Amino acid sequence: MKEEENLDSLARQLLYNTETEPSEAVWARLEAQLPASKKRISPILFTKKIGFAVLFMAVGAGGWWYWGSGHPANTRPIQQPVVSQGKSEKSIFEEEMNKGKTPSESMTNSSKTQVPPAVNLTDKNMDPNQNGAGSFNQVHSAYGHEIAGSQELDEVKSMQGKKIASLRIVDQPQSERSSYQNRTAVPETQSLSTPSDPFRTDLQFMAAKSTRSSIGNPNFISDGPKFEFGSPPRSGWVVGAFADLRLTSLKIRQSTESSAVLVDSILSKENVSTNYGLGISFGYHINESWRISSGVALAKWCRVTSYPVEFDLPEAFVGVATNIGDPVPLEQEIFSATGIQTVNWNATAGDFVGASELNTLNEELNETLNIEECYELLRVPIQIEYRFRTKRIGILPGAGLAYDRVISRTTKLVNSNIPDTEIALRNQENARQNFVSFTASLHLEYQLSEKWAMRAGASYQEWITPVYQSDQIKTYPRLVSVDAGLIYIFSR
Amino acid sequence: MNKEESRLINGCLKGRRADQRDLYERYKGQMFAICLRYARCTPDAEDMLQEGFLKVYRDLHQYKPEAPLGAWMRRVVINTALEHLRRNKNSNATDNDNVRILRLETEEKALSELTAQELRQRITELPDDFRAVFNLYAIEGFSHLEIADMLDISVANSKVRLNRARGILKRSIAETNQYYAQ
Repeated sequence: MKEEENLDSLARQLLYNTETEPSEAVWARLEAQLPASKKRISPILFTKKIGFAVLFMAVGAGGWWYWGSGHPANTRPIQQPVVSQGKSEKSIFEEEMNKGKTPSESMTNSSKTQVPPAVNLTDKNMDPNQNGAGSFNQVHSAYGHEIAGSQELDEVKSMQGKKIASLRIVDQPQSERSSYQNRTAVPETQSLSTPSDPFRTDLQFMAAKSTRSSIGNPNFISDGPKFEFGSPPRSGWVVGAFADLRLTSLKIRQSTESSAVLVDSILSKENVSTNYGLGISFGYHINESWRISSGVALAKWCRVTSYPVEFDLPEAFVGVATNIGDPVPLEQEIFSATGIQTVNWNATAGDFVGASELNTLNEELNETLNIEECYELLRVPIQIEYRFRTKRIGILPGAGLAYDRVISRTTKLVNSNIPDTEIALRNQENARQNFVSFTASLHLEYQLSEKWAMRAGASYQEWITPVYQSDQIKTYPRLVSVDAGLIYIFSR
Repeated sequence: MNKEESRLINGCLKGRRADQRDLYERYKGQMFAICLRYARCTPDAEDMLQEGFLKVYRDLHQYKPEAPLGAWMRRVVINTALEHLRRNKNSNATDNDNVRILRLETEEKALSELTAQELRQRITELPDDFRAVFNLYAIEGFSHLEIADMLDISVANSKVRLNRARGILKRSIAETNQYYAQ
């Protein structure tokens, strides 16, 4: 018996874990009997496919943007400028010259028509010869001098380079308004306010970048629908809903040395903002690891920006305001990272009666203008994600592109000391409404059941195309967001 | 089960040829050694191996990760070998040529390796019924009850076959030792 057990033990010891190589023919025969292989897509080949897909989407979105209404060359005006800003004093002067009038004649005529008869200031103080050179500043200075004296001219000159705002007193109808321009910005700033300047109210553009809305914060830009997926089905469709909260900042690139002043001025006013939004998405699982998805998101984003503004009403206005019973329309231009906005203000004569009242008014007006811009946006993203498999929680880095389009926008003044104020957007005929951005994300997915999963993560988004572009600056939003959502998986 | 095995299993379940090949390469030596113990000859062992891996790929979804993958595959291959033996029980194939082939292979090995090779050689020369029982009981460690169930025989029959297999092996090994002693 013991001998038999020894034999068994010896056999087990010698043969249990032995290995012997079969011939290569075995695998060849075995392979011939196996079903057709589902080839694993090599990472390089897969990357190429994804690259082509992303390129295709990018070209498509770019084409849509270029040929659609969002491109400056194809954009029609959304809203005509409230105040005719098409002619500066210089251009008026040159126009008069073209009509065969001398500079002094045109100046005199212009002054007579611009100042209300009740004031009767023009004939008394006008000295056309002083203004014969015809430059913008000279014309402007002449107004100040003829109305209030040489002291005001010096004051106005001393203000040059300090402000980037302009003020106009506007009669009704607009075509007959007088223009008490107080342009004191650096030359580059002056050019921003000319009609042909591309620094326009491209708030749409910036807003269009943010498909995920946010309310009540500046520097907006939300993201489109996130890509809501659950634990991976081997292949199949999923749909999801999400909510997100995001922080947005603006990155402004200056185009000229002189625009650094403008950039600094804007960035000092624009803070990081918070946004939130809602959306739905759908996607397809290529396999257990890779997913490609798209979606549609409708979002409303609101951004409140406080603009410190210096009105610096000329003392000439005292005369106007105290002698006219009707409200006097004023116009204030504000420059921001997203374009130019025009504030129209109907000042009443009873508001101020003298120099002290004017100073008080200026102090009040110089506080802030809080302007709220709201956008309704449509976003169509496309993104590819890879899932690192774990038992129940998946880790999903992803990247993609997003196309945004502005559906509508509104602007209003909030918390302002200025009575009877309305806001108008200028130069909207060139406002951009279509944008493309790049997104990178990292999400976690927790499987709640076979069909349901919860998803949360963070995203970074940077715009490929600027939301605002002038010959001086380009504005690119960028944001970091967190989002969470619930998804349903149709097949596994 | 490590990550690599998990990856291989998933790949095989998806029918990826590369993963099937990797799994085959990883276990072919171990499984072929088993097949050689049950088969009458090398070609039969290769058939068993081929058939066994087909069943592994086919039934991999039944594998439970709690147990080692190698043990599960071992059981699948053994069952395949037994089925192969049953199917070819009445085969007219003569074993002499194949046995000679195995013997020649064995004799070419170094003396230090002869013990395992020779033992396997002796086992291979056993009649099919005896060889199966000896392999299952002595090497694989199954009980007579399990063997009876696997081979569809009685427990007593299993014991009888085991004893006869042992007797043949002892005689054969003694002859071999005598051969080398000369």
